[in-house]
Amino acid sequence: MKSKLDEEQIAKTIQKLYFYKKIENLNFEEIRNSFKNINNYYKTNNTISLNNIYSAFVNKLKTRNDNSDTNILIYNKNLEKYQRVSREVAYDVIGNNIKVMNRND
Amino acid sequence: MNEVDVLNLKEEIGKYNSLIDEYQENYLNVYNEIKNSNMYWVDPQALLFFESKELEKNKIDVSLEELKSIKNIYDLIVSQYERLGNNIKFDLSKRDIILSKLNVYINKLNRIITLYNSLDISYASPSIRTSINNQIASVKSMINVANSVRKNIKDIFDKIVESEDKIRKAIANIQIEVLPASTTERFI
Repeated sequence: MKSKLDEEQIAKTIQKLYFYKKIENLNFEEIRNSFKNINNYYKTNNTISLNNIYSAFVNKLKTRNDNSDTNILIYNKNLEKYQRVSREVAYDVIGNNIKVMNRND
Repeated sequence: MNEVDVLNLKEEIGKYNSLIDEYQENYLNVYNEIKNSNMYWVDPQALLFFESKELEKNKIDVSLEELKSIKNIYDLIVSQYERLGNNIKFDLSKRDIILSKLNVYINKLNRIITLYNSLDISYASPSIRTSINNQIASVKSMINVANSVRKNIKDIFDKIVESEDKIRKAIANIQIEVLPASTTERFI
């Protein structure tokens, strides 16, 4: 497998993931508030069981939210890794060229 | 005191439906964005990463089904309670006390009828007889009203108990699967 990473495209992907992450944060808060509101409109002995479902689901949404951060982190780290490697390769190429030029002198 | 505010519940369920749609749309956007990026990032870590995202998508699909099953519970609550009114307040622990007090009241009225019937009015004047008969008819009418009220109250309590049983069973059927937390180790 030939490794590659298109820095420009991956940078765009990261930007879009940040954008969706903002929407996800708002959506997460709104779903949490919706659960709270519904609890105010339905108060019976079953409310406690429903609360347990909400808690489990809010935890799940929180994990999903954290996973979105991890996705962005993975892209960022890989982008940095490729940028570092390409810089090192560039330095090596420049270094070798300078050596060749010095030899020719 | 228990309370079910059906009108506000209905309004909130409308908002909740939109939130589920937003959740689904946003997640699909994220998923497609990640999937499309697989042509721009190719290496062994990328391969593992994209594979893991496919697995995660299945988990998110399960989350969506869970959100929808919670929505089904809300629909059930509304359908059960809207037949009783827009805002229902009740205390099921008072059910037996209320019905028992109505029984006592009805029994007292029946006792009055028995007392009226035990009167010897054969020597009474026609006007007194008419008056007593009117009183008996009036008490009988009160008994009918009390019986009807008692039946209505019992029916409402029965419907609430039946509704709460249905809702409890539906809630018990919901299981929220745990979503594993992503880590970076294998993908960097």
